[in-house]
Amino acid sequence: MARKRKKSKSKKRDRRSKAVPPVDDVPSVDDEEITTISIDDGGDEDVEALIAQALELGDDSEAGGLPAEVEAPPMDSDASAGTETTPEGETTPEVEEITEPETAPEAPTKPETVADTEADAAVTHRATQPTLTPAAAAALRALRTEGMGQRAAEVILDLGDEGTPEERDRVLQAALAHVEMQDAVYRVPTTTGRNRRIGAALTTLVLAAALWVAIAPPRLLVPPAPPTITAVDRRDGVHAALWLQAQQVEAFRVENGRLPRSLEEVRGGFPDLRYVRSTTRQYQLVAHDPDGRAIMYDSASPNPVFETVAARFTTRGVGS
Amino acid sequence: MIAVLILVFAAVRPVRRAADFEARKVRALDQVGALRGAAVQRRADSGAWPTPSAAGRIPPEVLGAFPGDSTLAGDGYSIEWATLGFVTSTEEADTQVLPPEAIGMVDSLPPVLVETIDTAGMILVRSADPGILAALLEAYRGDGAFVRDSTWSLVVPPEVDSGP
Repeated sequence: MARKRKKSKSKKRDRRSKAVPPVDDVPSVDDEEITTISIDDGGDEDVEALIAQALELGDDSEAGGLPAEVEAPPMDSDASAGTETTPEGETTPEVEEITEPETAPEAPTKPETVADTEADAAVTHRATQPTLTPAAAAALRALRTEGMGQRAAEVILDLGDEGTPEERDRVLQAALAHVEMQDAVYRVPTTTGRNRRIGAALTTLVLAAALWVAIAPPRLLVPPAPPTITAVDRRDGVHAALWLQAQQVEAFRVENGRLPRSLEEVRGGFPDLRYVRSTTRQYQLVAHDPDGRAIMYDSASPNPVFETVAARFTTRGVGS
Repeated sequence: MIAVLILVFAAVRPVRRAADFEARKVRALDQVGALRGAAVQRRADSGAWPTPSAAGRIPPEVLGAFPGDSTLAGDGYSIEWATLGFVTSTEEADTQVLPPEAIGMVDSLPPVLVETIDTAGMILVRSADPGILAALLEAYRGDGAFVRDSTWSLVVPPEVDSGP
C-alpha cells in the first residue's frame, strides 16, 4: 500500500493573531491520509456559546425535537443505506452515526432538504450573532461523537487510502462544518455592549469639552485680546480731523486770498465733514462723533479742546 | 475620532486666529515704519516729501525702502501716503518807516502777523479690522496718530527724525 501523507490547512482568518499548536491526541498519521483543519483559539464567551449551540442541537436531535432538515447532513444522501463496505471490505460505522435513522430517517432521501438548509445557512450568515446552520450542527455533532468535535486548535481528520466515497463525503462535510463554525466565530462583534457604552461616554465627554472650549474657552487657551479703540480715541480722532481740515482751509486761504467755496477745492480733505462759510473770513466745520453728537470747529473762536489737539501736531514744528 | 477632531479644532481656532492677527499687525507696523522712515529721509535729502500715492501704491521716490514688495497693503488693510498743508503764523516787526506826523504819537508800529504754509506728510491705513487700527494707534500714540472711522492716520512733521 502506497503511503502518502497529505496535509492541508484551511484558510486562517485569525484576527486575534493567535496560532494555537495542534492537539496532542491526534491519531497516528502513519499509513493514513490526513486532512488538518485549523481552528483558532477562541476563549471568548461568544465562541463558547457557539459550541454550546452546536452541542445543544445535538442533544435536541437525539431527543427527536429537531425537524428533519435541521438534522440531516446534506451530503449524506448516499449514506442512507446504512453501513457501507469499502472496496477492501472494511465497514464504515461512522456513516451510521451521522445519518442516525432513528432521529432523522427521512433527511438523507430529500434533496430539497439540502436546498432549504443552504437557504437557512445564507440567512444565518447575514446575522450578526454567531450561529450554525443545521447542516453544520449535524456535522459537528458527528465529529463530537467521534471525539473530534472539541474545540481543538486543529482538527485532524484521518482519511486512509481505504476510505470509501461515503467516508470522504463525511470528512468533507466535517471540514465544511468547521469552516462554517470559524466563520461564525469571526462574525462575533468585537465590541461588546460594555465597550460601546464606554465609547459612547467618552465621545459624549469629548464633545462636551469641545463645546465648552468653543463657547467659553478656558483662560489658558485664550490668547490676549487684541487692542480696541475706545470711545475717547474715536472722539479725539474727530477733533483731530476737524483741526487738520481747518488747516487745509487756512492753507487755501493763504495761497488764494479767499476761503474755498467747498472742501472739494481744498487739497487733502477728510471725509464726512460739513463745511459752512459764514463770512468771507469765517467758516465752520462740523462732524459727528461715534455717538452721533455734532462737533463743530468755528474758525472765529475755536473750542479750547482744539488747542490741545493742535499741540499734538505742533510740538514738532508743524502748524506753530 | 470626530469628537477629538472637533475638540482640537475648538482649542486651536482662537490661537490660530490670534497668530494670524499678530502676523498682520507686525506686517502693518513694519510697512508703516518703513514708509515713515523713507519719507522723512527723502524730505531730509531733497527737501520735498514723496509724491502722494493712492491706497496700496508705493510712492515712486521710496520704492527702494520696500524690496520685494509691489504694494503697500496687507491682509485686510491698505496704506496710503498723503501730504497736508499747515499754516504757520509768526509775528514780525513792521519795518515800515513812520510818517513824520506819526513821530511822537507812537513809538513803533505793531508787529505784523506773517502766515506761511508748511507741508507735513501723512500716512493713512484703511482697514475694516479695528484691531489693526487699534494696534497702530497704540504703537504711535503721542506721535500725531489718530483713528477716525476705519482709517488710522499718522501726521509726519517735516522736522521729525527719520529713525523709529
